[in-house]
Amino acid sequence: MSESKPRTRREFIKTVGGVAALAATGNLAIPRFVNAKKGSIKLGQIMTTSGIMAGQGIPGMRSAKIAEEIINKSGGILGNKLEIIQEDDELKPDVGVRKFRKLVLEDKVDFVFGTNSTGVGLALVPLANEFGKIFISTSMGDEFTEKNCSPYIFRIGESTSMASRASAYCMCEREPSVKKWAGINPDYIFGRESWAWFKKGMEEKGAKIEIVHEAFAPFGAQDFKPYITAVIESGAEGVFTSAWTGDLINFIKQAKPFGFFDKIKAFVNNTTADAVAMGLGDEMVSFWGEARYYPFYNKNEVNKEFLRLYQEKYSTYPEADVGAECYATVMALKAAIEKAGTPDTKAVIKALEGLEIEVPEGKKWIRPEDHSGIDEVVLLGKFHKDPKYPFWVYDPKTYFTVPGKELAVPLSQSVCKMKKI
Amino acid sequence: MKKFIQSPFVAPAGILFLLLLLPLFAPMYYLYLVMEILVVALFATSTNILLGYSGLLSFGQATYFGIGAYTVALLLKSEQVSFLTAILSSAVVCGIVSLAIGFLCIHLRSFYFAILTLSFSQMFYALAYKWISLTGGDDGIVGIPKPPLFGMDLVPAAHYYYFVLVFVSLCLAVLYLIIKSPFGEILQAIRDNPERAEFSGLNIKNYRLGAFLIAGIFGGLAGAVFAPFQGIVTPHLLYWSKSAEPLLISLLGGMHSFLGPLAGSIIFVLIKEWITQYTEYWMFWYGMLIVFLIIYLPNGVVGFIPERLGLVRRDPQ
Amino acid sequence: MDLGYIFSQLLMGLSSGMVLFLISSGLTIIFGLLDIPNFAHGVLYMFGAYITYYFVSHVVDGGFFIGLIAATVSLAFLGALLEVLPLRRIYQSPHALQLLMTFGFILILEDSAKFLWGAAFKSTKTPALLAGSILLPGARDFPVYSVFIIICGFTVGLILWLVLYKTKLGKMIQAGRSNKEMLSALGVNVPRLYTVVFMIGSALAGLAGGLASPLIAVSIGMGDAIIITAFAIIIVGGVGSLLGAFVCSILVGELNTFGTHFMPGLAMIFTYILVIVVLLTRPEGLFGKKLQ
Repeated sequence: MSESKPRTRREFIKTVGGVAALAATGNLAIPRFVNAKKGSIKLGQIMTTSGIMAGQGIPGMRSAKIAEEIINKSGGILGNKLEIIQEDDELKPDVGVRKFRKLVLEDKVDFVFGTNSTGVGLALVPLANEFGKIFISTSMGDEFTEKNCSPYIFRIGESTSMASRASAYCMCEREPSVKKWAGINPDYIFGRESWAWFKKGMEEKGAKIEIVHEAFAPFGAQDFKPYITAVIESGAEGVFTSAWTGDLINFIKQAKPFGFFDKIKAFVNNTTADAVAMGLGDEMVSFWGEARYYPFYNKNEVNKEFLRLYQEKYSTYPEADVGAECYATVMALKAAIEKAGTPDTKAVIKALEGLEIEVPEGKKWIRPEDHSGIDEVVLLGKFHKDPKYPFWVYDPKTYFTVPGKELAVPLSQSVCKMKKI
Repeated sequence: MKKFIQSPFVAPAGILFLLLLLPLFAPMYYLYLVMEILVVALFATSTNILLGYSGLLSFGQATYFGIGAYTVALLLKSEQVSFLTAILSSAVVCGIVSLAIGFLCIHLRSFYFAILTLSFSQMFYALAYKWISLTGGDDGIVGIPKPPLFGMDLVPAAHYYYFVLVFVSLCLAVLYLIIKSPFGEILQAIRDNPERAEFSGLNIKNYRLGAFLIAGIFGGLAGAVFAPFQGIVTPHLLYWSKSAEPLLISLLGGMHSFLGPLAGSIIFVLIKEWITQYTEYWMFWYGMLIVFLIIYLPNGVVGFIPERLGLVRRDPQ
Repeated sequence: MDLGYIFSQLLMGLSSGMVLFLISSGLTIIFGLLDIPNFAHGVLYMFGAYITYYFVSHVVDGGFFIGLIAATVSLAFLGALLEVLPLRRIYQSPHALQLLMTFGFILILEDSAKFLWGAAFKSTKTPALLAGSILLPGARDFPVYSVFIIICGFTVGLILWLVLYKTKLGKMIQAGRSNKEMLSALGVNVPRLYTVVFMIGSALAGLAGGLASPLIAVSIGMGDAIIITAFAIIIVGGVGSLLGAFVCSILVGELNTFGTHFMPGLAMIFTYILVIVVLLTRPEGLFGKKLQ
């Protein structure tokens, strides 16, 4: 077919039409407030608020908003109003990247914090370095303070290694008769590292245990029954799992009819156990749980106020521990800015290093050498039914604590070589 | 003068000129936005070679975008290889993979072709996810540098912007020439009437394989340029839902016109930016938009406006 | 690994296969007659789970069974809505557009679920009647609920078989697969037939979701994971073939169960390998009609 005149014209008109559409949508689609309000300090927060992990991100957003309210009620930061701008990363690294750029370049935030997913958080590290902005991670990856450490990067709380080793220490002390262990973990980096650190933690305490079974289930697996029966077959007495929220709920529901929790003497989980308890309600079973924040342990004023405000605004207890981590991050930044006397990045970095603050989970200290946030204690507890609460809680008689400083990766073993800026 | 305005090159040239000037007056954020649109447009246009021009629904184009991105990421992180070499390598790797997969898939039609491409795509996703020592697993490869190209430093945003602009424009120009060539004409003839094409002695499988190869290479090049732009590549780039995006974008913009995918990319990126500011339920509106478009505007936005203006008759389906 | 264990694993594979059968049977019937690959089938399953969850958490006695019925019926109506309003207009469009439209349905329905029930995981309690376990020959515990699912699966399969092969409706469906014009010439209201079939398929998806809800956490994304498996099953079984869906669902269920023991690393890609092999060697599937 040869090119005839009307055809050429049609092509042209199509492209003009396209350009017109472009221009029109261009105008419509970018209503932005770019003016930095004088006298305000802006924080950008990126969490997952859509899709299957929204149950993690939403508490993070809510907790940050409570912190913002408290701070502004008492006069803001250095007299400036605090503004937290929140974005959804859809659990996708590339979306997180785009949101980070928007927050920094368009909304002109001073600092960025967030993510509930280490995968997304890591994607933001190069950007923080590129733009010279502080990024505080609220996810658990060790990478933020190890191979991806940098002056701009902080991790506010417990890491995978800390939670897993704490779980091991707890089992050594509280379930010393359990010698045969099995591990069912999700098949991705968090799952594999958790299991590796658990075994290491056992080694560190000199426990003479035998690993009778280990398996990695696809993350988000719907059917755990083959794994469950395999564990039972192996004759395991104790089971460690880093499966969390949905996966752990599935595991527990499917395991119960097999009499799993009668056959296994000890079952321990290294993360977000509180969210699982809230999700399962009556169907919960008794096991050793760990979480970065457990609402009922700490009796300090900060925690009481946090819980009270959360209940008032949202009619529930914080649904996931990452919420408290976000709250702590905002409070830490406030303290650091006040200590530095300015929101300037370099000054705030110096102020954050070595900072100690009181937050709902207790005292938190930021180690200067690698920017690890280290809690006073890491807590485990065994769940039991308490009629006072709508969901199972730790039996206070079973509280097990390890000082955070004992769990943090020793500096001599750390691979972090932070450049000075 | 009339002939000059009617030439199909005026409008794109005009846009290109504006884009070249963009860094002079626009804030940095818009540079990033345009870079993203350009990469998405190249990916969508390459996919549309299959969808719109060959009538082949491939649900696995994310494979090539991902392979292109990972190839460049790995090579650049090793710091042993120049940027140009890295990009060309990704084209070669994608070419090989697309030939292999295409060869196996090309015998099937429509839905079965789609599912087969999807299945292969998921295998590569699994590979990226599980081969942790090579790909970093779900953490991905973090911190991809932007090395110099022909002596020019690409680290500043404006510089990388120019690189992406020029590179994508060149790729689109090449794709345009391919579509306008006899090869492209035959592809469309095969799309419209495969039986007649076969009767006239053409080996339609070879032509389709050729289209598959081209889509794979240019999809890979889009990924290659994307990797240093993002600074990180993760297995998620190869997941099947990433293959749905260029399809939807081509549909949105108009899959029977060359610049349709470009228009679709612009709308897709900008609308997503805009909608998410006002509601957390953006997927709902996006889904409604898709359903609406498929029913009322199967020729996409680019087809629609001239039709409404009464300038062209509606394309018979 | 002794015989008792193997037997328990076989039964487990059968039970997970039955859930897959309920989903894929609806999918294959719709695809067989309407020639529409319904990507949104997974979210219909998800809605069924949420509806059942709602009844379980709000109705104390027999909430689960009421919830199952509610899920089945309401999904039938939802299916009718989807078919009559948007889907019907694109029966003449290329497969690509049909697939993409059902993709649009996924987005709409997932956000609707999020709006209605929120984003947190929900858990449906297993009804007390079915919550225990039985002792299998070979001294292994086996959940009563899994037995229930096996019974449901076989029952539904039987009913579907009877409908398809012994009723007038079934004959119309089978005839319509190869020759729609003939049907219409014989006075059959073809559009109404399409709607009915879509309703049946959607109802099956809803039932599957309801049955699955005590086993797994109910979440917005639960449909996404299962839809690919469902498509794989109907392709391997043969599009439109009920027997194919039945046999291949069991096959995939057993593969997943035994695969975790013998080839754990490959868990992610079993189904895809199966699909690739079948599409390359026998694209019409094990029980399907030869493709044109």
